[in-house]
Amino acid sequence: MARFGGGVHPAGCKQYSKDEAIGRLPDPKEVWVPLSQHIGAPAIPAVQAGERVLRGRLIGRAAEGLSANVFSPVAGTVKGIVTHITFAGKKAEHVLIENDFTDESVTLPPLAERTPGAVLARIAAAGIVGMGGAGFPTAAKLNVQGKADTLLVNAAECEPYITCDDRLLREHAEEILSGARLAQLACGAARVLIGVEKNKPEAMERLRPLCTDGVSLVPLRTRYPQGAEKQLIYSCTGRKVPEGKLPADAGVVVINAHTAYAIHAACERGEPCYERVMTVSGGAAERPANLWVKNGTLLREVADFCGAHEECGRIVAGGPMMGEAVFSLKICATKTTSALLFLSENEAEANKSSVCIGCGKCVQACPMGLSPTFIEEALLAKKYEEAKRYGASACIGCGCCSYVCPAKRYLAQSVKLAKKIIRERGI
Amino acid sequence: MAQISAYKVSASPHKTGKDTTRRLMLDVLIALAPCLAAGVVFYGLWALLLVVICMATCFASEQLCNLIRRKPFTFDFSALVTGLILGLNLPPRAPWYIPVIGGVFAIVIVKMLFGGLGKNFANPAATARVFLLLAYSGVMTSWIGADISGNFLAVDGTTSATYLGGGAAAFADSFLGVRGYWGQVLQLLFGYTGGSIGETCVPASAAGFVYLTVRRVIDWRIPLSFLLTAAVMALICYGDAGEILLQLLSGGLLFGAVFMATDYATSPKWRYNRILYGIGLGIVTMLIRAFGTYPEGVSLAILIMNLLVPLMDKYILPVRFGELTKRGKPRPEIMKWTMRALCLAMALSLAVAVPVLATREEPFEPVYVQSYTQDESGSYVFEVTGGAYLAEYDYTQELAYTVTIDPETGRVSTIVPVQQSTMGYEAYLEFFVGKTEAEIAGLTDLTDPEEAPTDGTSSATVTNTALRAMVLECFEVMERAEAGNG
Repeated sequence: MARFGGGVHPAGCKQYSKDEAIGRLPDPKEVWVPLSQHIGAPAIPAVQAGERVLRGRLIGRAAEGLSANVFSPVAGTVKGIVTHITFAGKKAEHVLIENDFTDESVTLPPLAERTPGAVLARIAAAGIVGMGGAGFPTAAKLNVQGKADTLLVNAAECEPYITCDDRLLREHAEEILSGARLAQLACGAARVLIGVEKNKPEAMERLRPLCTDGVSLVPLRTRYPQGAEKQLIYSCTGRKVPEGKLPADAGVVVINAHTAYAIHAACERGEPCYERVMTVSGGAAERPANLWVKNGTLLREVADFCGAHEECGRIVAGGPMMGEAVFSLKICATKTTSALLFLSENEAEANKSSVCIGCGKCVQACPMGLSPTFIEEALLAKKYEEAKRYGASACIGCGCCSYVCPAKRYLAQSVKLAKKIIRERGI
Repeated sequence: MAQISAYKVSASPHKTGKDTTRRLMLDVLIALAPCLAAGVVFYGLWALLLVVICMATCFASEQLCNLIRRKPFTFDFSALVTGLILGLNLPPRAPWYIPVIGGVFAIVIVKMLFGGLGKNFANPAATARVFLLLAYSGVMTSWIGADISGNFLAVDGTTSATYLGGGAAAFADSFLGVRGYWGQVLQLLFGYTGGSIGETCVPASAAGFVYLTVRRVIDWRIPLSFLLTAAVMALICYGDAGEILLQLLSGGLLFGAVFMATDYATSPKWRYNRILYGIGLGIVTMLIRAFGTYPEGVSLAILIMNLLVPLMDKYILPVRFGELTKRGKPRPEIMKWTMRALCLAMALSLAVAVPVLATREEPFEPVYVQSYTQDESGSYVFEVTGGAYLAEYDYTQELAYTVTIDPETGRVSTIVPVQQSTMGYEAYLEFFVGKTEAEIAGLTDLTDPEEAPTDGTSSATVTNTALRAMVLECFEVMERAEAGNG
């Protein structure tokens, strides 16, 4: 098996929540459903204030180009289309719905025929996006015109703490397999690979008997960022996605395990995508859990349900390596919020950075073969061409460089900034 | 939830590893402890005092620089590391001002003037050592022999040569009961020889290497590629497989490879650049040792290679994951495969050349034994001729004997003179007849007992000594003949 270079091995910290069966967060009184939970243009509101909606009703229609449908996660009355803050700290349009707790629902009609076109159309109609974190509309991803021979299901879950995919695999392996086969049909791949890190033996045991004709399980070494798309493809197939190209150019389409589950739900049960499993964990979480959380649920609801210790030093949405620090609990959960971590002061120590001692650990740790310390140096000297020469544009933002730095320098952050400046200025 | 209003916000990643600058420097200090201990055991407490002076000077001069530049004091242990390494690089009986001058030079000139920690382009300890060597050549090259008699307080020691400076004069006849080449290797291995305080004891440096590698403080590639290249270069420069171990074990090679070549700021950042750096170090070190005027080349080699490090870091970059050439082809990882191939080629050439060169023995040609036969009882009968130089008369007296040795008992049966000695000095045959090879080899006093005691150079003694060489050669010939029969 191919081993990608670099990477780090942070403590898994999955013990908090890995044995918690998936539960359900009680429905909130009101939900603030963002119209932009994906990469691409925000959805266009399809409801008006005062209108009654059922659970599963389309409330935001995909815009032209890259976009995704948005559905109501509860039955209730639309209070209005309001602007509200998002994770990025920007204001965006949300659909505010007051829950009437009748839980009446509508589903999509049964899938008429099982052709690639029909499945793709259903995935698009159900508003499914990449649920690993990026939120790329899945229908666009699967539409590769026969260029891919492999469908890769990403169940690596290499980020510390997060266990939602692990639990989903252990409890809904058949559904995920079924979703993967539907995705295989949609993209025309000859085989399906499921990549799972070896630190999830229960999930692998559960999957192994189901992996028959054309589906194979690939146990992966436990190393961050094993679940990063390019690294995962390399580990599972030995192919390198060329710089600036898409996975399909290497003959692979990657979907997240949770995305595969959503595809199954949309095609077999007619349920569109309006909720997901979220891991609540961290040293300062009182009751770590894996919960079905509806899109648009305020993070405060989750925090209240699970409880947080007083010594919570930082709240992170997503994994500790690539997730975003939460600045307000008024933000809403989306299709891509895979975890809410309450990190204690010890876990998320705000380290004071000191001078670079030139140890080169960041260069060894970079899975993309960049030189973070030199990129940072070039950035601070405003030599952006130099930063580009050291590879800033190829950064995948995994954060390994910052993780290993003994001087605690903000390397990943600097490289991200350099990448942004290079892109904006067209250097 | 009101209680968690004080949480902080930052860009990802939100977790960092446990390593800190201070912890890494502490690890280096810990790894150097065995070297310091060995130095104190071998060379006494004066050596310890020198090291302490050096560390104190380095620390103080760093803080002084901070004070002058109005910067906060630094407590990251890096000055102590520099001080300890430089201290261990000093001769055990250097005067007190040597570590002071060296420490100030290392910290102020080499480190702080270039911007402090991480900004210096040359290794402070190596540069300071080279500076001291040039400025105080006499002091910096006068070594004392190791002494483990427990006399820690002795300020004087017997002066001693190092292998690199004085060749075979550095070695005792035997070490731990092992004679010859392997005795020399053993002596160098334990560092029971003249040299700098911390660099002679090889197991101590090796322990430091293991510790630092396991703790992932240093990259093992630098020391190992350095040693590998040095081994190959020793073979090339000296053409003798035996020289490899003597070169690798002597001087500051291992100490320098583990503790000085791996200095963070002055070594390359990418792993294959590090191999290139190690190879360069090996080549330069052995060229200086074999052809330069300085016996010791490690510090100088480190200094020279340090100057190339920025170039390597700037122009030899890792191939990015999925990087394409301008033509759109995957970029070949030339550097990676070249370095791997070079290391493999060097290892293979060592594996092939060492057995070939090591088994190359001088063909045995008897000097004294003219012919030999085996009689019916199995005893060997040798015809030997030789000469004894008699200084009294400036005359070489010819000697010829028939020596009979019984291989069963391993003893000399008879020695019969064949011709009358030309000057009339007869050998005292009782020394040899009935004796074994070991007994004869162990004879120390060959003064003729019938003669008045002399200074051991009398004509009779010289004659006895010459006969002893002849008899010992007879044994040698017999052993080879027996081995051939068996």
